[in-house]
This record gives sequence, C-alpha cells and structure tokens, in this order.
Amino acid sequence: MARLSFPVGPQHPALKEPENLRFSVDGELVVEADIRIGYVHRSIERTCSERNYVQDLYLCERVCGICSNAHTLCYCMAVEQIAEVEIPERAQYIRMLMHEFERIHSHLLWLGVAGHEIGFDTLFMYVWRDREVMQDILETVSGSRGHYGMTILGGVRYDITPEMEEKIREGIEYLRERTEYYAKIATTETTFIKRTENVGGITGPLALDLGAVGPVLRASGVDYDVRRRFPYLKYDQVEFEVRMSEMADVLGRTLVRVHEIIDACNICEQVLDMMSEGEIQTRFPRRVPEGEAVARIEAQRGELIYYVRSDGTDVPERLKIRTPTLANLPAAQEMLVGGYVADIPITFASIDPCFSCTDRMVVLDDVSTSETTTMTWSELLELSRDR
Amino acid sequence: MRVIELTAAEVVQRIQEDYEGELTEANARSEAEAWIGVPAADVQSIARFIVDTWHPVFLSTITGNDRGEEIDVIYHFVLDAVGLNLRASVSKSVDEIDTITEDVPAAILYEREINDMFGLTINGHPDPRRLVLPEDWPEGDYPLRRTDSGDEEEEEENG
Repeated sequence: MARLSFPVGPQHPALKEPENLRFSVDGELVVEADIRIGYVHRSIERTCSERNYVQDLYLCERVCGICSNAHTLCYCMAVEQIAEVEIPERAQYIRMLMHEFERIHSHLLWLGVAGHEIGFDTLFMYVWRDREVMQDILETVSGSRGHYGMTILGGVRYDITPEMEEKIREGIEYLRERTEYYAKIATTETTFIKRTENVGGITGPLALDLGAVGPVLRASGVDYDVRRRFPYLKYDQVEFEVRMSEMADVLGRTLVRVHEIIDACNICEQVLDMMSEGEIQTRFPRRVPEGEAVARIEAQRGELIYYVRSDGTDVPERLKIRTPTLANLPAAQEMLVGGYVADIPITFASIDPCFSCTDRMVVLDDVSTSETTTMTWSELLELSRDR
Repeated sequence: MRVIELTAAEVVQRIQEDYEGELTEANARSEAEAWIGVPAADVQSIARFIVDTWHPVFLSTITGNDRGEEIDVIYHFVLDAVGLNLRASVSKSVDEIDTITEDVPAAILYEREINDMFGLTINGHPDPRRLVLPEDWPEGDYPLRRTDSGDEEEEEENG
C-alpha cells in the first residue's frame, strides 16, 4: 500500500500549544514520525544574559506556566551555589513544599488531559475538580494560582502560617484519598486499560540512551530520580519511593504519575512535621562572584538542568536551561512509530509535553523577505502597550 | 542505571589514569560533581571512553557558551550519582566539532541546538537540520553567538 504523509499541528496537536508533528502512515500504522519545534521560542536564554540576577528570576519563572516554581528553584540553586549563599532551613522546607505542591497539581492536570485524550471525559472532569483543591492551597500560600513568585534568591518570599498549615493538611488528606481512587480506576477500569496498555512502548535501555527523563524513563524501569540520585533541599531526610514500572507503556506512565502524587502528599506531611520556626530569607548579594554552576532538580516532568556562568557583575554571562520535554522528544518519536494513528494523541500526551518550556526563544522576523528585524526597546514597549 | 557508590574524585582519577588523550582540566568540585576538559578535536574519543567505562551513561544536555575567541561546549553526563561535566573549547577559527551521537544518541537534539544557536558545524551529525530556528531564518545569523558590533548596538538600544 502507498504510504501517506500528513502534518499534525502546528495548531495544538493533542495539546493546547503549537507544535508540528509529521507522520508517514501505512494504513493505520505510523511508520515515520518527525517533530518540529520552535514555534514558541522567546529568546529567554539570551535575554537572561542582558538582565540582572533579580530580573532573571522573574524571567525564568515565566519559562513555563505549569512548572514555574521548578524553574525558579533550579535557577536559585545554581546562582546560590556560585554566590555560596546558604539559605535558612525553614526556607528549604518551604521550597520543598512548593516543589511537591506543584508536582501534585501538574500530575493531576496531566491525568485529566490523559482522560480527555482517550475520550474519558468523566475522568477529566473529576480530576480537574479535585485539582482545584491544590490550586486553592497554592493561592493561599503564595497569592497566585500560576506564577507563585515564592522562590527568591536567598530563600522564599512568604512564610507558612499555622492557618495555612491546617488548610494544607486538610487538602492533602483529601487529595491522597481521591488519588488512591484514581489509581484504582487506572488499574481496573477496562476503558482506560484498553486505551493505554501496550500503547506507546519504549524499552528502558533505549529510553536511557535517547536521554528521556522523569516519569517516561521511570515507567520503562530505569531508576533515575534526581531527588534520590542528587539529593537537594532536604530530600535526603524524607522517606519516599522512586516510583517505577516495568510496563513501559502509557499505562505505566500513568501509574508512575498517580503514585507520585500520593508520594508527594506523604512528603508534604513529613515536611510539615519536620519544619521548625526560623528565618525564611537571607541577604543575597547584588553582584555574584565569578564562577559557574550546574543545578539539577526533579521537576514534575523530569530532570530539569540549569547551567549558569557568572563574570563577577550583576548580570550572568550565560544561562542555559534544558527542560524535560526537550529531553523526552526523541523518546516520543520512538514511541509513536509502530503505533496506530488513533493512539497518536495519547501517546504524545504521555510524555506530558510542554512546548513553551522547550522553545524559549522568539524570532522577530519578516517571513516574506526572510529578513530579521531587530526591534528597539521603545518599539517593543509600544507594541506591547498597543496590544 | 546501576546504583553503585561512585564519587566524583574516583571518576576524575579513572579518567586521568586510563584515558590516553590530553586533559585540559580535571577536578572534582564536590563528591557529586566532576569537571573534565579536553581539546575540541578529542570529544569523540573521550565520549567513547566515558561510555565504555561507565555504561550506561545518561546525557542531560549540552551547553554552548560564547567566550569571545572560542566557544565552550559543555557535555553534562550523569554516571550513577556523579554529574560529569565535560568541556571542550572550540576556537572560532576552527568553528567545528565532531558529533558524539554514535556513542551517545541522546546528543542528537542538543547538537542541533548548538549548531542553530552558535553556528558550530557538527561533523558527522546524522540529522543536521535546524532545531528551533524557523526554516526561513537567514543563513549565518546565530542568536547566541556574540559579535563585536551586534552586542554593542543592542546595549545602546536597551539603554
């Protein structure tokens, strides 16, 4: 039979962000898949080397709307390492809480999207309803549902009050109970299993070779969780299991994420029990001494890595970000090949892709003439005000 | 990945003892962080040495950094619980580096990104297309490569 090639995207293929996937199919089978990224490139790395460290904190938070806290955390860890600033203990615990809150809300968001992708909208509705509990907690603690602005250089912005703690404990307990129910659905509900079992498979050694990270890698049986491998904050003091699955398919990835939500709830409770009173901020110098640092954290989508090089001024010489989705793309390509056309959305969604994270650089470009247009600062201001 | 007790100092020592090429830097900054430097022409042989010695290794990413006369290419590996950062400085007069994708397939996208952003030619790359820049982006214009004139102009505009 003749092969047919067709594009999916760039307008939201399987998710509400622009990306272009190109497929060659033989009947219902995908024989080739290619991924084209770059539609939401926003020049963040370059811009960071033209702004000071405090401005960059705000910019890094805006790399991604879902893992915003993970980005500020990783950024601060890298810069604090160069400046040799040790943050107070209580700030470390609060950072951990925010880190796990974000994991809970992000994994719940993903579970809802996964339900939607396989036509199981009841699951989507229930999960997103429950996710609101976490969103309320985040709003109570930080004042915002999206960009929390909690992590700052030298500590955290706000403290956790006893009233907040009560609300967190209540919410966590509810979410754990609900998530246990979703874990049961994922393992017993025939509709769910039929659409996810043996779909989008990739073996552990191949996933590792291709540089996959996070739940994608762990669902293929590879034991790599930055929280365990390179303990940061106080992760060496809490008990949690590195969740893995040998299934290596979409179902495996679902189970890993669902169990990570339950683990995150447990971590939050342990942290609340361990937290002692104290300072939450320490003075951070405006100028950072010359040096370089690499920081890794386990963001909800997988390993996030920052490289920062400073030259002794208040502006970094170079700031490099590698987000989990970029690392997972070669693996995603591998998963799609050999699968059915109907499974494309759920397979692709199973890496929990995030493209604003992946791209980070925009181009001001006249497409018709291929000429680059450089905008001046005042032109840019004018453009943003007009809109 | 196996979990054995490997420290950065041991990684550095093993490379110093068994790797036959030249090393431009070799130190363990902490128990979990090692830094190794090699001449740019040797990246393939050191990558092969690392993969053969500690298989399977994980590549987190590749960082490019324009240092003026040369471009630093830093490969961030993970071996057990050690982050191994491998630096190769490419002189702008050479402007090319060999691919390591044969031994480290994960490098495929990151090398394309380096090519896009810094204009370094990656010799032997199996898929040397653009990664993030659009197809109609002008040839020879590399967003993260510093040029004397470009940077100064921009600074003036940004005030």
